[in-house]
Amino acid sequence: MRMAGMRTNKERLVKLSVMGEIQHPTATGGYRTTFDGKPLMVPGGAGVKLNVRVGDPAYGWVSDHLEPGACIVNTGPARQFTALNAFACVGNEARVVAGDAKGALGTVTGKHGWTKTFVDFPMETLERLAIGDRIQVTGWGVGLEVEGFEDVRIMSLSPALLEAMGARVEGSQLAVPVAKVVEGRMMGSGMGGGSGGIPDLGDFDVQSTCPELTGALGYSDIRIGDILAIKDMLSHYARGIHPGAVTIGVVSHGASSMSGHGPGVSPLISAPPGRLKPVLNPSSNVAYWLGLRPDKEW
Amino acid sequence: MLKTNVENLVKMKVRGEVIHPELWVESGYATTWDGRPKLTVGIGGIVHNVRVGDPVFGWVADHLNAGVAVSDPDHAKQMALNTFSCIGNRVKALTGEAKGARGVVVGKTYFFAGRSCRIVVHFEPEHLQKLAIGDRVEVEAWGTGLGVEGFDDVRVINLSPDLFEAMGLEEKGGRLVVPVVSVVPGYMMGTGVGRGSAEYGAWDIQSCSPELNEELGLEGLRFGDLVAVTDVSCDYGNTVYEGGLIVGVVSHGASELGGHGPGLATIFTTKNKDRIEAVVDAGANVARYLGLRGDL
Repeated sequence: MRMAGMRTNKERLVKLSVMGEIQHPTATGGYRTTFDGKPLMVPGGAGVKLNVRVGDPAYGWVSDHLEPGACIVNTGPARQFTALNAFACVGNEARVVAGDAKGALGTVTGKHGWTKTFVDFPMETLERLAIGDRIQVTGWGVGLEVEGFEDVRIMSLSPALLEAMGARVEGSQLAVPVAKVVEGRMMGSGMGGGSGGIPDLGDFDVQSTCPELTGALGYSDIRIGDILAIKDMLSHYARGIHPGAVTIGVVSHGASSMSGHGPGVSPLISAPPGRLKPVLNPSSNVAYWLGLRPDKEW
Repeated sequence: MLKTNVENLVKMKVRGEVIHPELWVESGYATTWDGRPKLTVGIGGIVHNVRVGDPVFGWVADHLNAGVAVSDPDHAKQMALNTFSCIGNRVKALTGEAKGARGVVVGKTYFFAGRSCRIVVHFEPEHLQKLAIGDRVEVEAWGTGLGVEGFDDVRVINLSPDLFEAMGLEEKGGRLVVPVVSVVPGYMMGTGVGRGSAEYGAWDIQSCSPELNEELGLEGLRFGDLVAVTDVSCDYGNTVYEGGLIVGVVSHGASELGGHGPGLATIFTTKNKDRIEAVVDAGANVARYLGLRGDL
């Protein structure tokens, strides 16, 4: 099928159900230590956030690694929770299968670590969701390719979002709208995929633990859900430095004061040098492209 | 002469065992940065023909530990062994044919969840022949908390007082002068960034870009080399930090996996680079300072 001068193999991609349940927030028995040596105890991970959704700021909250909307994990063995994380693609539809919100529809917006998947729901649904509720995702997107760009790896990206974003072919380049272009040297935790395994899982962080650099580079207005381009970064089979390569990703979680951490980026597209053209568009956010936040001005 | 708090540091024994080699992925191949399948030789076990002082590049290996890999099956003990062992600490074989043999800690490496966090120990070749996988070894752990008077804003970690003294460091104009074989820009740092503390494991200089390896001369690095990295900090975990500087010891070999490469165990870290003067000296290697390689 041809969309905006771009043909994909989406008709060949399998749609399959993967399942998770809303995870309870977690805390450790001790304080975590910040980059500047201070003890910290704040919320951030898991559960249901009632006032933070995709489209909201990634910085500025009294929080660490803030995860938006509903956070689901598969509580089965490793192969199953990995399958949820691997097969759920950003933009996929999700459905609540049990509880007060049964039948409500949501959208996958990002991933974290190699176990957590974030689903956005309208506010009235978020209020009805309970910890432990099961949510099923229609996984669709693994193996997505754009014709003529087989050397560009696409991962964790639903064909629907790729099309909604208005990505298009411009000569020998794939043009993708991005809210910001980030320097590769700022990428931190998740580099190499040591804990996340492969770039199809989880995320890696735009380091927010040198506040002077965050300010100087103008990153403090990054929002959860923003589509970013990362320079000099190849994420084909692991995340690593590669001059001229570009990785496109979506901001999945919020900032951090843990050394080497910051807003997480789930890679969506990895392109060798010269094959991808980031086009600046401040509105380039999953919530904007998929109409998830009509309450916000874009 | 620099004054330290060495007389306030506790010496204690920590114990581990020589671990079996491990694969990067449980069954099958690892995948290189450019999509090639690779069997990862060199993670764990006893390595006979590559020792501290030898080159890190050029081996058919990945994340190679030069010498003997020591860890513990219990995670909590493994972390304590790795955290408290310092580069230059004395090691003794406790069991097996090599019982009583003396070695030296020359590196610290970390492996992700489910795999072993290990220290690397140098033994003489005649002892390597006798050591067996599973042999127990103990480390005389000494160095955690080492501080240099007048340098409160320089954290010293993973460094034994023996090696500190052998390096013969000096102060010049308010700066700690540290010899290094190379100064690497912070943007090269990969896996290990964001890890909870720099007191265990290593932080990789990425070697997944052949172009950058050549441009920066990384291919000349040797196991045990001292390397400075600019614009990073390891004060409380590894992070980008403009104006920061660290010095580390090359603890494991190069890698072809994206985001990985030779790992540095940090020995000095500061958020203020004006406090450390990294002076290039091709001989800045742990093997030379501790006299471990008479053949080099």
